[in-house]
Amino acid sequence: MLKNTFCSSPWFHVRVTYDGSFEKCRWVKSADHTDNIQRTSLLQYFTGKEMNQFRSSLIQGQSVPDCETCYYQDQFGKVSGRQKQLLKSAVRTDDFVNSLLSSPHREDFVYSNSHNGETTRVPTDLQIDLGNLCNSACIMCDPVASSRLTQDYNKLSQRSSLFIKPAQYQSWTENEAVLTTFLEQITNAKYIHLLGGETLYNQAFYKICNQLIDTGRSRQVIMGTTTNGTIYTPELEHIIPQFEEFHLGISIESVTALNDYVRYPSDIATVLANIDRFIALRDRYAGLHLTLRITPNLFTIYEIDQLFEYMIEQRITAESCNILHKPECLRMELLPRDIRSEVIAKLENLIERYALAKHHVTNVRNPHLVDQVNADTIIDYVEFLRNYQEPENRTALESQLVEFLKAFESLRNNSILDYAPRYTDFLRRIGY
Amino acid sequence: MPQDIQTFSDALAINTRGQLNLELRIQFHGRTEQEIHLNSVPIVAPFTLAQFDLLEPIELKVELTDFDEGTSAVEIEYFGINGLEVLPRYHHLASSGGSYIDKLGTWRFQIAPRFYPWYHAISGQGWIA
Repeated sequence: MLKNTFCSSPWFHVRVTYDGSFEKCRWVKSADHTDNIQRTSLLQYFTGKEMNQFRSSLIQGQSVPDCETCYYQDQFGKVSGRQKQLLKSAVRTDDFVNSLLSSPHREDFVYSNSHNGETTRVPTDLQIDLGNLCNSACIMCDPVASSRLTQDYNKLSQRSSLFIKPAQYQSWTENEAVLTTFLEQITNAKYIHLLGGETLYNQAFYKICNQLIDTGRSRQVIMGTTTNGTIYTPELEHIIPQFEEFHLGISIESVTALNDYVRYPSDIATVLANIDRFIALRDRYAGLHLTLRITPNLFTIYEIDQLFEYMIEQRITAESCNILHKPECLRMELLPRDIRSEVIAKLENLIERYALAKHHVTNVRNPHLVDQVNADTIIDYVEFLRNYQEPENRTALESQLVEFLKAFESLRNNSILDYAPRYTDFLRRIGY
Repeated sequence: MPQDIQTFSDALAINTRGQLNLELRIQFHGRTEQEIHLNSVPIVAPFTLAQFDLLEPIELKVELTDFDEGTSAVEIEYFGINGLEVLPRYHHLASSGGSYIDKLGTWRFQIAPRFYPWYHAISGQGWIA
């Protein structure tokens, strides 16, 4: 059904990845990229063959393999990227056909429908990956997004087949001429999300922000970025108020030291202190929207009730890019059954204590609906935990988990048992 | 409206006429004289169900021609479209900033250009790309 597969994203959005390759969507990870910002302009890619085919497939109601991540989230009632993008066309999934036919983008869909997916629109929603310069080496991250993790993978690839030696690449933003040309191409952008690595360490972040400020464009732009919370830069206090809105995501998995194990080598006290500083900034600038970016895995899900309670108290929401599925051995679906029941019980207790109810908010960044969004997030996780199917290759993945953890720990001289003692029996049983 | 369509062409083939279902409940307080119109349709009953085209702008208009100052008024108790509450929730968007009409003259509530994008904007669903 069109309702379950259609997405309006390719009518306004495109992503530039770390090496300058174009990607159809921020939630898609294609195996091969043919076009690159260093050779092809943003508009050429957006109106080119790949995007035309993508639009054409969606408008014909096809289930697109590249969109599996969103379809998977939809299954569990979570607010998927697809739903968020549809909302940017004023299309509601709870009244799909009426809102689709009323959409401000209706005529654009009509045009594409009769022109093999071609469009006369220009991209207005951009995700720009600035490069992998990063001071963190989170265990679930990809070397393509972390220079520090790249170093680890270089070593670990000699010890375990679970770690592929990362390909060498140069971040496209290091090429000044390409970056300058690119900045001239984004004059129609309304929303720009800059990603790292750690964006606050990347000079391209400041260059892009300051260019938009200097040209007066920033007042019409919603800027978004994500930081790992390990640093705070006063320059943000100048940048943030210059934009129509500024959406700052702070990556965190737990409010305890478990965060330091997963998001190695963070220091949770520093991260929480920095979040306090960002909250103080939010109190000064109404246009600053803060979210926690969480990617729960089978260990951090055990403490997620504490993180949710922190969010409720701080009046800050959380967004998940997706349900973690890579590395496969860290998936929540591998939870041992006794711990799974315990996590569900803890979350049910939280729901009862705060009298939380489902509100079905799709615009999760509406600053007036923080409590409702938090309630939805917590209830969605309970639903997921109750309903997910255990992977069929569970035993193989458990073996991988032991090998995966041991490999990292051999470099870091730490042990998961010190950070997640509740998992001792489980880990011992699977050979840790 | 069928929700099981397979392609965008299927959606375009749907007749949009009558796809907006409006519910209007009015309370008359005290002695009032008025003319009420929902688009061009005159409304006299306190409870009305009506259907309009999905893509049509909507205007609810109340012209209060006589009343007793301080003791009477026309109140739009509820106005909803396709199950979504419009009034009194968004009464601040009415011409006089309310849905309790106790002044002589014309009170208007307009929804344009189409209901769903309008509702998207006023209910804080975020920016349109």
